[in-house]
Amino acid sequence: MERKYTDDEIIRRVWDVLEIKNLMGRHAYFHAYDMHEAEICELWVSDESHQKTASFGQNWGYQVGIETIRSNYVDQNLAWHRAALSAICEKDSSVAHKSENLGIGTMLIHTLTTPYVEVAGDGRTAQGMWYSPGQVTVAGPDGVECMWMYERYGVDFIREQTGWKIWHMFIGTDFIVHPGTLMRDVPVPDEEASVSAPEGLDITIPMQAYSARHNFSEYPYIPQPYEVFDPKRGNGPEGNPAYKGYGAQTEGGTLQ
Amino acid sequence: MTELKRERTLSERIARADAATECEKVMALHCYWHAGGIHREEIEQYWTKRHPLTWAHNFGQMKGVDNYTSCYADAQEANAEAYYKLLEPIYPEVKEVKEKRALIEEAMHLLVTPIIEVAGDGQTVKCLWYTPGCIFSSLTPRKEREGMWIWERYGADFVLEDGRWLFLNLKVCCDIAGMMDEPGWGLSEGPPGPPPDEDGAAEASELSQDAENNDAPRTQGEVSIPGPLHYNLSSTQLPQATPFIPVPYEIFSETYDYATLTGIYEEDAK
Repeated sequence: MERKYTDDEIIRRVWDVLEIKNLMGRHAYFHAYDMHEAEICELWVSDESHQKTASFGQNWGYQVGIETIRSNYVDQNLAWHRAALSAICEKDSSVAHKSENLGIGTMLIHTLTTPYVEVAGDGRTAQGMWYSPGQVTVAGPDGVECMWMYERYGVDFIREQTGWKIWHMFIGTDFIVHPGTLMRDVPVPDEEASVSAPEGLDITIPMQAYSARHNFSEYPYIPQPYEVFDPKRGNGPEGNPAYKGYGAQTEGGTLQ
Repeated sequence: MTELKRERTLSERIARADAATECEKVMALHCYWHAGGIHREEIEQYWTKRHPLTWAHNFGQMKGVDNYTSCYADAQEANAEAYYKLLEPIYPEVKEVKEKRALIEEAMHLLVTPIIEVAGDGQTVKCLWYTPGCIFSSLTPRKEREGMWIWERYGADFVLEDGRWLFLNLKVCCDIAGMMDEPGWGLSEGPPGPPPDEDGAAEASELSQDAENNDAPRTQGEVSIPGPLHYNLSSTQLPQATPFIPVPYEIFSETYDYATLTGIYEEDAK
C-alpha cells in the first residue's frame, strides 16, 4: 500500500503506535495485578457495536462478545480464586479465608516483546503482534504450580471516542514447560484433537484455533500495511483459516 | 558523544520519530519471518538494493546480497528440504503443510531493550537489541520435541530507500546457544564456528551427521570474512562490547556501522 502522509498524519500515527504499546502494557500489568474488571472497563471496547464483536481467542477457540469475555475473565477467574483459597485454607490454617487472600500464590507475568504495530491507512484501527515469553504460577491445595509459557499475541485495536481500545485479542500458546521438565518430554500437540479449554470457561466457538505442531503458525497473521479493517485478516474468529462458521450469538465483525 | 549539528525543523523531527517506529517494525518483521522460514522474501523485500549489505554472526561475515542469499536462503531451503524428507515418512501430514520451510524449526528471536538512533540527516538508523530467544522443533525424526536457548544481540543499520526503511547491515552476536535439555546449557566450552583456514576464507561447513539421532546434515554457506567475531559465554569469557552501542550521529559515516568487525572506534578494537 503506497500512501503519502502529511506531517500531521505521520506524527499522529507515530503517537498511535506509542499509545497502543502502552495499552498492551497496561493489559499485561492489569492481568498480573488481578485487575480484570478494571481491564475490561478501561482497556477493552466500550462502544456497543464493537462490544458485540469483541473476541478473545486462545488455542482452544474464541470467546465472542464482551459479556462472554467478562464472565470468563472476571467472574470465572474469581470463582477459581475462591475455590483455590478454600482448598488452601482447609489444608493450611495459617492462611486466613478472607477476600484479601484471593489469588494467593499466583503470579502471571506475560511479557511483551518484538512489537509490530501497524496502523490502518484510515487511522480507525490497528493490528499488533508480540512474542510473549512468560511465566505462570498458580497456587492450589497441593502447592504451587509454575510453568514457563511462550506465546504469540495477535491483537486488533479500534479507535473510540476515549482512545484506542482492545477489540480482538488472540493468544497462541507455543509451548509450556514446567521447571525441571525436559523439553523432549513435553507432548507434541495432537494433529487432529481439539485442545480443551480449562473447565468453567464458556467458549463461544470451540475449535483448534492454534497449534505449534508445525512450529510457526500462519495465524495470527503478521500484520501488513492496510487501508481499512478486514475481519478475514483480523485476530477474531473470521480471520482464522480453520474457522468454519459463526455461532448464533454475534452478528459478524464488519466495521460500521 | 556526538552532538547533532543543527536545530531540526518540526517536519524533520517528525520524520525521525517515524523512522524509529518504522525500523522497529522492520526488525520485528525480520524476527517473525525468520520464525516462519520466510527468508528469501525478506532479502528481496527488506534489504537494501543500492548499497553493499553485510550480515554477520559469531562465525563470520557475509558481504553482498549473493553471499547472504547463498546462506540465508539457498542453504536454508536446502536444509529445510532435507529435513522434510526425514519427516515425511514419519509424519505424512507434513505433505499438506503450506510453508514447509517452517517445519525444520521455529527460531523465536525476541526483541527487547532497544536503542534506536536515527541519524540527524534522517537517512539511516543504527539500532541495538538484546534477543533472548529460543529455537524449538515440534516434529522431529526422534519423535520428541527439541529446544535450544539462544541469547544474542542484534546490531542493525537501516537505510532509507524510496521512502522505505531497509536493512543495510545486521550483526548478530551470540552469547548463549545451548540445548534446553542439556545441563549447563548457558556455558560453552570454546568459540563456535569453523576455524579460519590458511588463506582466511572459510569453506562451506557441514555439521557432522549424527547417525544415531538421524539428523539431516546442515549446510551453512560461505563467509567472506571468517570469525570468530564474538564468543559464546564461557567460564573464561570476558564481557564483550559488541555490537557497539549506537550514539547520536549526524551522518552515517560519522560513527562505525554494523559492518564493522571490531568495536565502535578503532582504538577500542581488541
